Amino acid sequence: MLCVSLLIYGGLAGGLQRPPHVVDAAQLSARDQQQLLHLVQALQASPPPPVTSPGQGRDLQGYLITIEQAGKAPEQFEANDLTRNQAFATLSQWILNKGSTGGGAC
Amino acid sequence: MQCIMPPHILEHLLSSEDSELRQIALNNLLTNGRLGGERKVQSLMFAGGPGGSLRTVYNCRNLASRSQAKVARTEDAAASKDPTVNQAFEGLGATRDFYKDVFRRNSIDDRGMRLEAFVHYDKHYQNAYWDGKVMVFGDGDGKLFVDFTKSLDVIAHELAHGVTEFTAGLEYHNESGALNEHISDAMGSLVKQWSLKQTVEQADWLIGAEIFTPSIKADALRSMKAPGTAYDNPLIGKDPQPDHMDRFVKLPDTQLGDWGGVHINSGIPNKAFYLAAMAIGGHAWEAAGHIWYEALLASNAKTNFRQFAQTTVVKASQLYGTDKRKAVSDAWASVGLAVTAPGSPRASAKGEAKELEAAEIHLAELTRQIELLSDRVRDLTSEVEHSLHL
Repeated sequence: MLCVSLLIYGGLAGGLQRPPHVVDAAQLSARDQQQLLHLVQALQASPPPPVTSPGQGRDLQGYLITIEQAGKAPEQFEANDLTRNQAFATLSQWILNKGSTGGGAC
Repeated sequence: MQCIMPPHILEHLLSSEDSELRQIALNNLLTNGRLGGERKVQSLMFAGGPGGSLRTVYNCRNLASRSQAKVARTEDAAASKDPTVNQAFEGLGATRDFYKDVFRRNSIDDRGMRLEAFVHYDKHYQNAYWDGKVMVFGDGDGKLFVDFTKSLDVIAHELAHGVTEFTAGLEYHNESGALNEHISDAMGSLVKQWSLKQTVEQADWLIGAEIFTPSIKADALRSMKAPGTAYDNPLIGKDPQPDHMDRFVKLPDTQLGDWGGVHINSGIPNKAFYLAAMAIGGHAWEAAGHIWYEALLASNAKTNFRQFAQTTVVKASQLYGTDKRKAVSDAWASVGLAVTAPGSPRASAKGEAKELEAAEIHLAELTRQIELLSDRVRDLTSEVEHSLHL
């Protein structure tokens, strides 16, 4: 089992409560499952730096990726517009393209 | 009687060779309280900084990288075929002109800092932000949001974050962070009102009214007139902004907690600003705008709601006298922030004496510094004139 969600929050529209984009690997083709697993492993190997302060940016959008895998505790990776690295940005975009917002979290 | 001498006349008189005229200008600056510290003096004497507040708009071509962006329009170039580029360019220009004409401020840093905006950032990017040096705008996803450059108040909001960083430097969390957001909303709305020449009654007092798609039932991102009512629908929830200290929202000081609700609790000072502007009437960028701007210049990184409210009341009193002081004081009281001001019955005589003493010391020091600077300018002028005659 592999389920990945992306929550986009904050930014100029700070008060908006947007639903997460969710991808359940069970609903994907074998090829997409492999691609998702590869992107998840890339993020796990190269996580963005932790966001501990607002820094110099203002109205930065926040991103929270939650990964749930069978037999493992859920993992969360947080970033913003200035801290998201390549692995984080690539997986985010993939979730936005493949995920849905209707079914709630994983 | 307090009077505001137009800045261009003040500037002219300050540079006059007639010492009596210079003294009149100096006295006017000091008594009407518009100095706002040395920054204002510097802006009058050294207007026109090295950057010339020139505008550049870059096109990110829907990549999530600014390093690969292409220059799309510069200050002297013809208009682009891309409306987003032009909207950003014109928005930067309107905001720059607003600060110059209304507050005599020379760009973000008051020294002619260049204005740079990046448009078409990322794919379906639903945000606009200030990174500490430049502004970045997304195109929206077309379902919830459209192009963020469509709202002039959004462009002015982002640029105001830069102004705040170069002035009070309000820390971006909890109350000081909500004030930071409030200043950006207030200045964003003022730029739009100034651009449209609207009175307080004509203004919509909305932030981001043009960036939702027509299919989304939402007035805007925020309403300064009625915080908490900008939107209410199943897709994006209900506008969570409070309009009174009784409903202040306590959130964690984390990114997920909006750094203590900086975009949430800004509703409280937003409402106070709206009420003050409405009570004063006319054009909000005149009295109300000046009071808030001077309060920003007099604030610091840790200023909280009550301290900022107090400062606006003091500035209203210094700049315009009793009526407008009462309008500002009543506005803050309406949102649950009752503050006293010098001259009000509630202010203690002891407190007033201390405040007056501190103000006199401050003014004496400012006078001394201005006289020194005037002497230097006079000497330099003489040297230049002398060399031209040689």
